[in-house]
Amino acid sequence: MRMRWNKKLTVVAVFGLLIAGTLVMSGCTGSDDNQLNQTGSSTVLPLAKAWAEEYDGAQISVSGGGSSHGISALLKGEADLADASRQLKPEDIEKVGGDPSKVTDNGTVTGPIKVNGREVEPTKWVVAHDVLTVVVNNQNDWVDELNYTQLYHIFTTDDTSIYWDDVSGLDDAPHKKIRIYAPDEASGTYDYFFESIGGLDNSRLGHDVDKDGKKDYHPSADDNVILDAIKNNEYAIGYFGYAYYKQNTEKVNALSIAEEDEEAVPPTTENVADYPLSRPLHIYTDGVPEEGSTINDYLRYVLSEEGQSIVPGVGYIKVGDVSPGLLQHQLDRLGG
Amino acid sequence: MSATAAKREIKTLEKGKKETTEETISIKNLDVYYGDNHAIKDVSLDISPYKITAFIGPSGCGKSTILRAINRMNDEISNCRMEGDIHWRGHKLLSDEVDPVILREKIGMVFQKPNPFPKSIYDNIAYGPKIHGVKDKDELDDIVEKSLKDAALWDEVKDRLEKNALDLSGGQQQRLCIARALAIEPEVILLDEPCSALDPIATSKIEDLLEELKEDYTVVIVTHNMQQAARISDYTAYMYLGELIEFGETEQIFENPQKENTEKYITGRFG
Amino acid sequence: MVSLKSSSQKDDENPFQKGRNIKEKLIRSVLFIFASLAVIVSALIIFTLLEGSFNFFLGPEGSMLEFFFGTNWMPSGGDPSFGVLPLLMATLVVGGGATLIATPIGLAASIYLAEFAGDKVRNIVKPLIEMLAGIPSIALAYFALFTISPLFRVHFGASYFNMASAMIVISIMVIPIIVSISDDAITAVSSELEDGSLALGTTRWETTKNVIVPSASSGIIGSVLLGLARAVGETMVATLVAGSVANLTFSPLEEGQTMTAYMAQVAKGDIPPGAAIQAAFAVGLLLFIITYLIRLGGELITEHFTGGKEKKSHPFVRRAKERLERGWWRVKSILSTERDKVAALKNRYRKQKMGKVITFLCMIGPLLFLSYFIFNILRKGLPGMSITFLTSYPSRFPDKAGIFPVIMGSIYLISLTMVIAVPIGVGAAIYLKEFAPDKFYSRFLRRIIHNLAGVPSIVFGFIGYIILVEMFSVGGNLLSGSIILAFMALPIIEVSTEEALESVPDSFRDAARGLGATKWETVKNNVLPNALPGIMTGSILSLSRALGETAPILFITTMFAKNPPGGIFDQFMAMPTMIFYWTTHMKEEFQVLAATTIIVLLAILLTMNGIAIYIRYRTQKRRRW
Ligand SMILES: Nc1ncnc2c1ncn2[C@@H]1O[C@H](COP(=O)(O)OP(=O)(O)OP(=O)(O)O)[C@@H](O)[C@H]1O
Ligand SMILES: [Mg+2]
Repeated sequence: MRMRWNKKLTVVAVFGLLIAGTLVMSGCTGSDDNQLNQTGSSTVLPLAKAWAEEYDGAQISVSGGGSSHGISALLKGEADLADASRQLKPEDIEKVGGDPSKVTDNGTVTGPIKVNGREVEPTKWVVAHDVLTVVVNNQNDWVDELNYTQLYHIFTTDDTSIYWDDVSGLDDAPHKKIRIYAPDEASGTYDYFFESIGGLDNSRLGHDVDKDGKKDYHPSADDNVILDAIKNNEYAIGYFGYAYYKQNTEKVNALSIAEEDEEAVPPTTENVADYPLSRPLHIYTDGVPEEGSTINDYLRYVLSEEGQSIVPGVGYIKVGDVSPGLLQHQLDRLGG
Repeated sequence: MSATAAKREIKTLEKGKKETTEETISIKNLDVYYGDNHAIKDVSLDISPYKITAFIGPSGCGKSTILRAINRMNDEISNCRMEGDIHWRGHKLLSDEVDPVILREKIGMVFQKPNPFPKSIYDNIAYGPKIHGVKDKDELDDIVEKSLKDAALWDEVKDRLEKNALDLSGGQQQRLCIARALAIEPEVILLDEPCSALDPIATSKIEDLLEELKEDYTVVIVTHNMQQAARISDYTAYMYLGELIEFGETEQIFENPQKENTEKYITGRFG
Repeated sequence: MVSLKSSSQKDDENPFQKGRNIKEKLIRSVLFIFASLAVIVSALIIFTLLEGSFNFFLGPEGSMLEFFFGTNWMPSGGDPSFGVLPLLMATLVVGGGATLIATPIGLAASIYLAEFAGDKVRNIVKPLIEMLAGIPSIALAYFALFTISPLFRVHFGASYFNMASAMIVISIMVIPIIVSISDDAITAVSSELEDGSLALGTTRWETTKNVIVPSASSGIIGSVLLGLARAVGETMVATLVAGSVANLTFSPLEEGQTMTAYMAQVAKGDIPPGAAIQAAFAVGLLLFIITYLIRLGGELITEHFTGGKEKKSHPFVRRAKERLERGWWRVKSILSTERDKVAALKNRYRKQKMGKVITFLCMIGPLLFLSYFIFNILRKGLPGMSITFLTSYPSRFPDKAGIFPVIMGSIYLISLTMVIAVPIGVGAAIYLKEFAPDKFYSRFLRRIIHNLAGVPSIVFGFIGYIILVEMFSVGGNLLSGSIILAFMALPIIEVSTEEALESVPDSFRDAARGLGATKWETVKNNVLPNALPGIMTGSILSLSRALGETAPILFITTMFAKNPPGGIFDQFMAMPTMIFYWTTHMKEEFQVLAATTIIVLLAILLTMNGIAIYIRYRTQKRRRW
């Protein structure tokens, strides 16, 4: 009997402690203003994680989920910072029941928006640039640059180039099938690539196109797969983010890219202002954060020399390298 | 067991009736243990061929254990150990030389609770012969018919041989189990309380059946029913707490028991 | 104990006054509510799935016709198409294939265990196979991606992602299910039947093959169906190994996206918003229905056909079969001129020997897999193990990276899960076992709780996220994570508690009731203390399972934070999801850290299981009734 009682006591004690512990834990939440939630684009994610790691002024928890998820979390007040690899679109506002007409062409809003009875004003900050890299096998000696037209011929079913020597301007290339390894339709990179080279919706390479199997096309969601395949196939071509290429420069060759008739530009950090396949990455906040607030401090850190110095290491391009003016303008808005 | 040993067994366990002394199952100084439980204590007796021998005695006295010793079913119980010997046709049945699988083909067994396989009536009977190498369907048909007739079940089931055996009544199931045992043409049949789950009519059917069977088979039966033992058996063995108290012709045991213990039991004054 | 005083004090009133009934009623209602929570949760799940699916089908992009008959699944892009067939096909190839592999192996292993293995072997092998069942799927997925998949790539020319390796590894998860249920079914076949066959002079192998296995067939089929449901609902392996491109193909060497993998893709945020996410509801609903039907089939077969009756074939089929058989035997008897019994017996023993060897190998196979898996994970992960790793945060520099806040996140998560799940699960069980008066409603409740256990974890995660985060705005934090896990853990806690209560003899209850104790007093003082060890064992086991779950919290966990969460409304990281992120990380150093995290996770799980087994062992030794 005595033993029993002791055991019972232990169980009660364990439970009691646990419940007390959780209550204490929950009690702590309100008091901690130094916490920020950042969520959104998986393209921005590695960068956001790096900043969160280096920044000491606040506790920042970072998660992915996609640009749309991030923006909607911000609009609903569930996140303090939304990562986005694209600009705010009217649909984002519509989805949470706000007034979509307030969205401007450059991805901001003309005034506060009512969401669930609460006002929110999504405000855009350009924090880095993402660059797409088109890569071929190391043994490929017949191509080191391509323009948008050539890319269009290779990557769409419109005016098909099936063999390397079909591609306009590559008459001396071997008569071998082009083997395409590229991100699949689900990825943001895919959308961005085709938006840039102007692939018509119904001719861009995808699962439903090219059913006759004329093109040797292998979509994949995993950059590792693409890299692995291109590394091992002499006649392969593909594309992925500069961030990923940066980690594997010796394994594959990056091509210089030209927008139509202009000069071809190799993808390097220095050239980013001129390189065609590059896009800005954003963080959205609710309004311009007040000076002295945690969010303001954090954004200023992100845009500071120190914060920006991390960007190349992750594989993206500093804002200042593309447009120093924009960087300064944003810092000014933050009151820096 | 090795193949050569198997061969030797088969040579000597040939079918056909030999001298009756050879056919006698003689149990010599048998001891059976379940772990530490000494279930059979130094039992010796001779079971006569083409007769019915009945084992009686209070519950737990070791009747089933003796039966399971004869066809080596005790081998299947992991903590069971047997000492002594059982001679039959010049073989020591408990020795390693004897393959229980072959032995059981010669010494069939019917259990207390009817245990037909969840298969059709036909398949229940054909099961043993099939495994023992009868592959021809016509031959199987004959065996099934003959066994069912021998077990006095044929008329009741001949139109529904494909029906599941579990649909039969308890008495029919038990006769099916007897037929199943007959189908492999054994020479000895052991029955462990075959009628305990049956009503009087089914019981009397089986009793009649046993009377017929002893023409061709040596029959050993365990029963709790005194009248049954008296009615059908030629010899009776009375056991008590693992010991053989008295063994003799049935008439003598029931009418003139030598031991007080036996008399008490058969007159129902205990147990 | 019973207070005799209270009744004697009120001697001026009715001595039979129902005095203690208010408290009793209150407790009873609370228990009733706990038991009924499962109904509410199930209704919410079904309602949410239905509503989402309706919205999808009625929306501009969705069409029922296309969904069920379209052969193209391309949720994004300019002209999306939502034909679910490619997802279904991949689910069939991966889940069906895995079950196809697991069935003969699992069945053979259970035959060896039940019929040929001695007690010693059984006592060693059964816990090991249970251990195999306890390995989190994310750990097996890691193993599949880096160890199994390369084999298929090198030797069979499979693509980087391929369904074959997913199939193999999922079959390893299914085998323990088949083994444990089939073993139960085989050992449950009465020894009388076995004796009946052996007494006819058959070998043990012949008896097993012809009598025991057919008699256990309903249990075996049930186990296979339950295994299939598990395989179809498996998410992490399918996501990491089979790929995320919907392909309408039968070839296991190619990439394919299962239904679960699509939902995981939505969870990761790799899917653009709009119809593509709406489609996840329809996929989830379909998955839910499929697994439900498979499980239901399995249960019906196990429950209703335990008689082991043979199915009756059509007379025509039977006659045709018979004619074929007759012909075949005639041919055979002509061919085999010698019908030498000795040769036949030799042959029968050879078959028994072969059967024994093969079933033995099938039993050993999964154990070899287990040891190779552990060896492999240790070899890969141990180099990453260090004090730094256990004490620092998941830095982006692999040599500085660690999992301290991740471990803490998991521990908080599971503690909170326990605080929610154990009282509800135990309360529900007490209600059902001790109080439930209405037979129909309590049977219904039991069924619902049972079904909850079969909901695929990714559906749980998805719906949990939709309900808690989107609908009730609880947020993607510890609280919502643990609520989701709690309802996943609930069924096992409930079932094991009921079993524990069951094991307390009724005489204990009668004794207390006879002394005038109320029902609750009896339960509290006489029943619960005796059932406690069983309850604790069941709870620990179910919580350890929850600790290893990835899919249900994939929607919720964070990927980076320097510190552990400070409160239940804080975001958090957890070990399984961290393993997932690091496994897919492009730098190889992080893949090593994933293995190191797996080691830590396995160590924690092993400790929890060890405690549970110790409690069980101790009570079994002490039990006196
Ligand atoms: N499988 C077994 N394991 C351990 N002990 C056993 C086993 N079978 C029988 N015994 C023991 O051996 C003794 C004899 O049992 P047996 O079954 O032979 O009795 P019985 O005379 O057939 O009884 P009943 O009339 O009840 O059938 C009993 O003490 C019994 O407990
Ligand atoms: Mg008996």
